[in-house]
Amino acid sequence: MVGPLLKGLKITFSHLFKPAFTVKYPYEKIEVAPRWRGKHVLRVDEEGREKCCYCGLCEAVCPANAIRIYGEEAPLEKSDVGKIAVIYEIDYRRCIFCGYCEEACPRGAIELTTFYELAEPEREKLLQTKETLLEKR
Amino acid sequence: MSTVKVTIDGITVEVSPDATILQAAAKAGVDIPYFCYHPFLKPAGLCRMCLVEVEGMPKLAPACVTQVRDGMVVKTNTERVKKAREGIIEFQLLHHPLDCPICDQAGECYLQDITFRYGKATSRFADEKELYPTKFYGPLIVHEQSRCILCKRCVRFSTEVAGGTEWNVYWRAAHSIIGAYDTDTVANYFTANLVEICPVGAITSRLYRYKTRIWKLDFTRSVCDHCEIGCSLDLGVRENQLFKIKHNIMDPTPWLCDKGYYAFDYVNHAERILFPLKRNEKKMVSVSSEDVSDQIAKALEGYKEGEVALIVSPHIVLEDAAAVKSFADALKAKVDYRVYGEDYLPLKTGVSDISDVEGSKNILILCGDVAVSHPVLALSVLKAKFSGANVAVISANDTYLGERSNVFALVPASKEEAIAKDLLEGRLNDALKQALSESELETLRSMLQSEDLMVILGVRASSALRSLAYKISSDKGWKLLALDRGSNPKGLFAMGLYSDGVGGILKGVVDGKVKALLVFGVDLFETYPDAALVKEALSSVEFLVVGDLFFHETAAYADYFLPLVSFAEDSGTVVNLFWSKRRRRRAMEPKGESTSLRKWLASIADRLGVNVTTEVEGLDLSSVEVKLTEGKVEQVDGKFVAVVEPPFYRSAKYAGWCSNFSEASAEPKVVLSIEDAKALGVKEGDKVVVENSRGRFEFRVKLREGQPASSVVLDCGYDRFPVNLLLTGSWKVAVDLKKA
Repeated sequence: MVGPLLKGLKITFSHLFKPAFTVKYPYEKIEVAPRWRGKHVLRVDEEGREKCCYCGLCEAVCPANAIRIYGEEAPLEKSDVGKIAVIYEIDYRRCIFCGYCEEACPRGAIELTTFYELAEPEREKLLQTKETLLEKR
Repeated sequence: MSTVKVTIDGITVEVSPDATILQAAAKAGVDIPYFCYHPFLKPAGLCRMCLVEVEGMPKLAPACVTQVRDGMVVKTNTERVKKAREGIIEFQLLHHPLDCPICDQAGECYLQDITFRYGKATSRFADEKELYPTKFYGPLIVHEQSRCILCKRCVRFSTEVAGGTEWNVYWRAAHSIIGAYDTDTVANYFTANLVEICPVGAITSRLYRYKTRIWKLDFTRSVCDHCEIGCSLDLGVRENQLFKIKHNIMDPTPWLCDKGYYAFDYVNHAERILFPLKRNEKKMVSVSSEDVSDQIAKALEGYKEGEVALIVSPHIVLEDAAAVKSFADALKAKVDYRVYGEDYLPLKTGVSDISDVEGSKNILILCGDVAVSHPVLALSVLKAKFSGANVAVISANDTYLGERSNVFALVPASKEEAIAKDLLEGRLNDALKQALSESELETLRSMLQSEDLMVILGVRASSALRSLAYKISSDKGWKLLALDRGSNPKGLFAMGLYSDGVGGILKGVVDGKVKALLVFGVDLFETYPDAALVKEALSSVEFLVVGDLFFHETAAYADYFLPLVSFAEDSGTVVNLFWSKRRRRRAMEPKGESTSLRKWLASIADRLGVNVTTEVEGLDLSSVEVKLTEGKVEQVDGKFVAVVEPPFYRSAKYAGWCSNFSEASAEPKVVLSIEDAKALGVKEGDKVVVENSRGRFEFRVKLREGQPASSVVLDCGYDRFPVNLLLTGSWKVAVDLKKA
């Protein structure tokens, strides 16, 4: 009866002297792989112009239907091709982080970053708009 | 008729001997790719995409222009054809910018689809692509020469169908440019078709430019709301917003006009009123749907028989009309739809299809600008003309069809009706003789002798002229087509929604006989040709309910405002020009608390304890009887006599709320004869004052050759420019002109 109990305690106590598996989140953060698929970012080019020209491919390929875009004519200071997305929304209530949007994008405008802290106290805040997605320079 | 047998890829089909290989292949179910071929344009053989192998022919043959012959064996799936197709696509893509991500055509682009299906993934072209700047032709179309593959579909449409020359190919060979030379605007009423038939994204709509992608739209087939021809339209909706209109079916013709294609954005307009309003002192405050019905019903209960009247727009559907009729009958109220001050009722004539117009040998058009009021009908008249018919246009204001017809006389506005009356009776009026050359008069005489004559009476023709034309045409065996304003006037007439005219109702209000007025779907200040009477009536009426999409000038007098739905948000039946029923489908959900007229009436009637019906199945159009109305042939005298008409780009329903569409005619103009301009000392582009005892307006001068002296044309339909103030119940009026 006592044998198995001691065996278990031995494992428990041996772990006291080994390095910990867990990290003290949020004071410490885990390293993620460089190809980790976290929060999206809408890239801008060297001159600060938006890369996205609303071709609609990310919206079309999205299996979870999480992306919603509307386009608009734009001056050349805002876009090198004269077309930008006026509304760009990603709904993180739906997103499954498959990364198809990044793969479909012909201009490298949308990328998935390694940022993974997406939890929000309210569900509505999971709807990210262009304001929060656009890369800041 | 004899047929020939053709074998295409092993499938043998029988076709008529004048068919082409492409048509035979369509019958056999074999797919041959093409760019320049269009089923309703003459074949051109330009793009070489449809090359096929024909047994016995040494070279590959273009399927769209090669006629079939008996026993012909065609192969479309050989190595040679495959190689040729790949080569052609490589050529087409040499200078194509491949900017599909920003192109609005992506998703419905022939070049995209055909490249994907038949092309190679790579190109051997290593040099720099030739690029051209984007050109905006007016507020409606955008032209990107870089994307053009020079199929000339648009040019062929403009010359073969619309009968114009300004849209054409300039420069030569590889440097060819499509477009209009030396102008920045193309406003020929049919630019919509250029956008529709362009197989690539070279010509796109400016209204839809970059807004959304075609695969995000859900299309619902409905019927156009702008005139009584009722073309089939596909309404493209995304998230309850109407974004695009397409015309994918030959119904009634393969073509569409600019009104149907561009004048739809009022549906999404931010100024639309989406909640019921009620008057509180000088302000309008919002009120719930239940309360508004309660309060209107309560107010209406206080009125006796004959003290209530209804005015409805000629655009409402039959279901609404049935509800209005039963509501009016229950209240013993007068009702009328003739908001343009017409004294005539629709005439049921023998013309039962648009192909009757296309097949006519002689067409006489009187008193009206058909290309403005019924644009697609004008294309059918032109089709008849191009197949050899004589077309005569005798009118005070018609330039589109007039310029393209055999006989064209611009007649003085004051004598327009008298000349038309004489002409129908077989006499040529002196004023007409002055305006026409000897050969034209000869043609006109021979037309009047002919039995195969179609008379088209425009919207300006008075009741007297209509009655006369009806009698004479039934005596002589002519065909008659009498045009009305609105998109469903024939249906409303069949429903019996008429009494003694809108003028009669308004006069009744002024006299105090009518105390409560319900106006639905119309701004009387814009439509009724006597703004002073409208103002007097609306300010003296005790109780006014207005229902519409927008808070316009009529609504400003209202005690209650009911938000109605647009044609895209409602289903229903309309009766077209040829007296057949057409079905409109709902493409989107009603916005806000707006709802259809029949539902508002039902909820008010419910509280009044009466029943309204929306039953229209029982309406038998074949038993509609012709009601000839009495009236005098109109005669207006004065130093200058003006015809007041909206220009094309202001003539659509709710044109003031269609931003791009109405921009195409930005400023109200007065059309003057050259003699009058000299006498007044004004040039083209100057300003003149047009006035009479009722009002005074400034217009910009436009000179027109052939315009008779002392006859002018005034534009109406502009915001905050109520030209109707000058009028006294008719669209023709005596005015005085001065240099500004």
